[in-house]
Amino acid sequence: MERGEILAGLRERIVAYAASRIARDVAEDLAQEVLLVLHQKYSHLERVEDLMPVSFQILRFKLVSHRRRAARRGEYTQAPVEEVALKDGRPTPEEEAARREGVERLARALEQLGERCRKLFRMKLEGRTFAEIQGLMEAGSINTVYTWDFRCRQQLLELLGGSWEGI
Amino acid sequence: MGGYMKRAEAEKLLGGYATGTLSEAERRLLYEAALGDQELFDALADEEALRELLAEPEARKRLLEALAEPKVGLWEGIAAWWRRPVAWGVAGSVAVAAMLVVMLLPVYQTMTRKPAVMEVAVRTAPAGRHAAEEQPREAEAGPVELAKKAEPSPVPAAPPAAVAVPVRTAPAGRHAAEGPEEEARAAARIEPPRPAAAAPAVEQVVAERAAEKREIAEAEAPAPKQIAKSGAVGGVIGGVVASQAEAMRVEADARALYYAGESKAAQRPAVMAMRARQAADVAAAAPGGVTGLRYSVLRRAASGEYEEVAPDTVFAAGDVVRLSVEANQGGVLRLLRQDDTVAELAIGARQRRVIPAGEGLKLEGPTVLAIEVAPAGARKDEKRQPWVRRAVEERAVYVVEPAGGPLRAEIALRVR
Repeated sequence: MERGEILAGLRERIVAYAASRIARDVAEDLAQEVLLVLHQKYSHLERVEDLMPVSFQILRFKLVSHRRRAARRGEYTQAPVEEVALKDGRPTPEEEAARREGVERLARALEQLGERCRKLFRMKLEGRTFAEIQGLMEAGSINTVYTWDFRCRQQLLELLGGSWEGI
Repeated sequence: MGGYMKRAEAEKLLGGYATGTLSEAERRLLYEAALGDQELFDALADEEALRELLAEPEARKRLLEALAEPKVGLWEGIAAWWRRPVAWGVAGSVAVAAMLVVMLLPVYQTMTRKPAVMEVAVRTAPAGRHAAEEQPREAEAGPVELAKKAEPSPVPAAPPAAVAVPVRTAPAGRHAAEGPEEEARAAARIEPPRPAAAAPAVEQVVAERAAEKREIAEAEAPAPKQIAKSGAVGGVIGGVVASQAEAMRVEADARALYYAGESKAAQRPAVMAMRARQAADVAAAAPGGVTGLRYSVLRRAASGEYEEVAPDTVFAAGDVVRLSVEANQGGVLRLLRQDDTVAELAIGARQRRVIPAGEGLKLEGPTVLAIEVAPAGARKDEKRQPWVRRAVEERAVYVVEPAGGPLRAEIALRVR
């Protein structure tokens, strides 16, 4: 698949994804911004497996940034500009607390999973690949491991209310 | 139908995205499917929040703690085992077997009783002395006996070191009346009637005893210090590089260091637990955290796909390779080929990337690649500590800088 073809596909997907979360016209701008970054900073990436993860990271960053901007513009609250703290790049105490809370929520959800799911997730966190996990868990085939993992992920998502966003 | 199948297959890989579990082929399948399917794309984009969270070592550590297996005490374990029906079956079988042994042993002993034999411990003499003692006998022997002597003797050759070997010999005869030395020589010289397999058995005992002695001597001798090189050379399986200045006495497992503190040592077998504890100690000593790199070598197959190969693979001239790399800290990653920069990119913590992004590196002859990782905020003039690296059962190589800061790993690719 050519780079141009991949980028065209990515744009379409990003617009649709963003439009389900923010206004359509803003989603179009956001997709454009993602592609601009890809063009300016990642022009050396050619393959879908290189472009896609970077796109997700930029997209997430742009979405979070958009929400912050909207908050600063007073769309939700009004505050004098002198009182708005400048970002220093590090997480704010609120963000830090939210992150800690998210980790705890995830940890509690993981504790509720069955033994196999817990073992599977533990091995994934330890950096094992699915092929290694197949051997360690003595699964008949790698497809068995994929199926276990898919079901475990579904269970975990359900325990977290159907979305990772809260974590 | 094909699209549906691809989507169904790809969907099962979603869980591996955030944890960085996917291989290159699995990632490609997932991304290509996501590019053609909005629902899958949305699910994958949503996974980014989880991936971001799991990229933080502290979060991973906390989650691994939550996933730890509950500790079971010794008595609880024994009690649980006894509650299992199979335990009663095993115990019953053992009891019956013990009773049978007690009942049948006297019968067996009566049936197999042989004439009394005398156990003589023979201290074999050095080969030279043994040969010298044999000389007069050869002089006395006739041509037929000499010809027989020229053939390999069924009596085992004496080992260079004196080793006590128990030899079964006939009961008191002419030699028993003579002194102990003569008796010993006779025992070694005269072939007592014994099964054909006896000679190799004695040889085996001698060899085993000698091997044991060597092992004990090696274990007791001080281990030679391995001198650390200025950079870690990847692609070498096994072995742990020791400190040049003896600053780091702990020979930690690089893989454990890479995932330092992310799993409970107590739940692993003793050796692994020890390594994990050592890794945790080393990691705690590094102010900015241990800098770690995980890489594997990918070779382009005839189909054009890149496949992971063992780090010590001997490549053919013309092979094209890329590297799958991942660092445990975010920063700048650089790939060099014979000191020329091939790729330079910003990399997030635990974000697996394949480099170079475009065309792979064509190997014309033996090639040395280097990967440099500069974690965000690391000072370039920091004092360098020795590298620790270790290849484990997977095809990846882990390189760590125990003191934190910049890291450089060299990869020597062999080409035939």
